[in-house]
Amino acid sequence: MALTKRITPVTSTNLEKTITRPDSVTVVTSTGQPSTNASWTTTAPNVLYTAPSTCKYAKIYWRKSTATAAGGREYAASNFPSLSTADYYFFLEITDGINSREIIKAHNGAAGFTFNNFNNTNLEYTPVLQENDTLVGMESGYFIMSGDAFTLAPGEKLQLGTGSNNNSAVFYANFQAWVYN
Amino acid sequence: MNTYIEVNGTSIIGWSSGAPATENFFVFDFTPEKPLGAYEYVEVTETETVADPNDPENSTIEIEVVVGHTIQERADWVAPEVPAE
Repeated sequence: MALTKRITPVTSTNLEKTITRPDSVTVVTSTGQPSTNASWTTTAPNVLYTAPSTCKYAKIYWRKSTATAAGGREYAASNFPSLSTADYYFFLEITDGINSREIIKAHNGAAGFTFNNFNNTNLEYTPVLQENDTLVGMESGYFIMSGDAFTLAPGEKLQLGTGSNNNSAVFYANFQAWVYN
Repeated sequence: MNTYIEVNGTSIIGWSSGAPATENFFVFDFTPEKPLGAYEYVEVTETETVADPNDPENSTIEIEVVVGHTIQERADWVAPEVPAE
């Protein structure tokens, strides 16, 4: 029996990649230091963003920049520095008011952490980043954090904690919240 | 598109556009071009002439009233040094 070559036609349907775009985008710029904010304590973190209660979910996109966050510019990468004094560090968590999941935590005496700071030494990470993945700079190294880590359920808060009420380190957070309804 | 700010005293500690980032943000027409630390949120006052409540002769006094707020650049603000890349 003669064999016939058969080719499965490629339809446009399986060529198309589904694109999901956010229904709204909120641009957020925030700065400050616990030592000058009386309402920011070790037990009452500083809320950076609250996902709308009516959305399906919200994804945090940390601004990518070749500018160092130390300059504190709105277009720069985010910077959460630590100081050498005991407990002068930051940590990020997502909470629904009852349960909190910790995302990243620094400690005093080190450099803290940065997000998506693409200076000359780490541009090589760029090709492997997916959409909302985040390049984290910590100590003298870098690692990639999945974008899933920064996905908020409706009403959840992204908040910045401190190890001390007197922490005088200044943070800079520059991100977009992509909201899907 | 609306812009929003969060303040702590005269310090502006948050800014967002598109929607308020948290319940502490409120609508304010302002778009920063420098770090938020470069600005201060201050009262706008006006002098009004009103009847002196302590004067039976119906004389008037001038009082300062707060008519709103504005954002202005801090006089003592110095641009941060940008580390060499």
